[in-house]
Amino acid sequence: MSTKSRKRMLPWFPGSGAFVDADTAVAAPDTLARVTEDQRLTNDGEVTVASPDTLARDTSEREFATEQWQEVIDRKLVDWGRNPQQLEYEELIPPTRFAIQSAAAIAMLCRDHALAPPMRVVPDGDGGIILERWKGSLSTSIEVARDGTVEVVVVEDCRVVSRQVLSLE
Amino acid sequence: MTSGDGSEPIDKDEIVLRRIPATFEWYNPGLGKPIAWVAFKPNENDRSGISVWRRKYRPPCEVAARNAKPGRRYYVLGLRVALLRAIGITVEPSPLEGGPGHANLVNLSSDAYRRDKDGITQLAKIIAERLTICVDGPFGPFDIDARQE
Repeated sequence: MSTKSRKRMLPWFPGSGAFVDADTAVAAPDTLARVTEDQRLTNDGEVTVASPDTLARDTSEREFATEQWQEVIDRKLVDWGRNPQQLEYEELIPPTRFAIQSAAAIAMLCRDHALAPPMRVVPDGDGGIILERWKGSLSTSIEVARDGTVEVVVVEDCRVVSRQVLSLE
Repeated sequence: MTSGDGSEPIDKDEIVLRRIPATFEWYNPGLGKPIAWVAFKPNENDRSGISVWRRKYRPPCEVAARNAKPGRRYYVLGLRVALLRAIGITVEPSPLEGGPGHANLVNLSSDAYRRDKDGITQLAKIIAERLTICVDGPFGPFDIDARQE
């Protein structure tokens, strides 16, 4: 079974096997659900059938991903929102409530679709938040600015290869 | 240590130090990329570039303690000036801005980031992932007395 995706897809984290729709910033639920059930979406949009072993691994990976995203929400974003003073440093600007709200919306979306979790979630020192994941020389960042706007930035070997604005509307 | 006023040109063999807050987790030794590139991303206050300190004027513990926020902890990252210059970073002494030993990474300013996000992101990534030669700390927490220069 092999179908081509008709949507323009933006890779989320390297190695995640999942994608976020670049035009609408909404993870395509039908595609993601299909991928995570019994198939694997490649970088070209190809869908291939997975083996039973892969399915078992995928289930535990999905559970792990969901838990990790929930930790990001509970232990970082909610905590930062409740206690912003913990991030007040002399020359740095802690995450704004707009940035926290946008980051939380993204995190919930990614949690619900069990996308690969970020390896680092940190304030950017300018009122925003960075969520980052990497594999080898490839890294992807979700950059949430202080006004809540979001960009996905793909970097390979320290060079920015793409930067796309996402709308949360 | 030196008795100069810190206005003399910075030698290529010097080390400059960048202070980062521990709570932000910009340094996490448990990660494959222990230093987050945002440690070198300018914010709106970095109009003259990102602040660093010349190690020959101040050791890492002093850099961490200078004007520290009470109760906070800090790491101090070390960078060799020759390596920064090799990627096009200008390191200029700015003792009038922060006292003897203060310097700026001039290219990494808030204006430069607004003009060229990708270029500054690339420089910040290279510095964080390839050019940081040492990490000291965490230092602190500091009490109110440590805020004195």
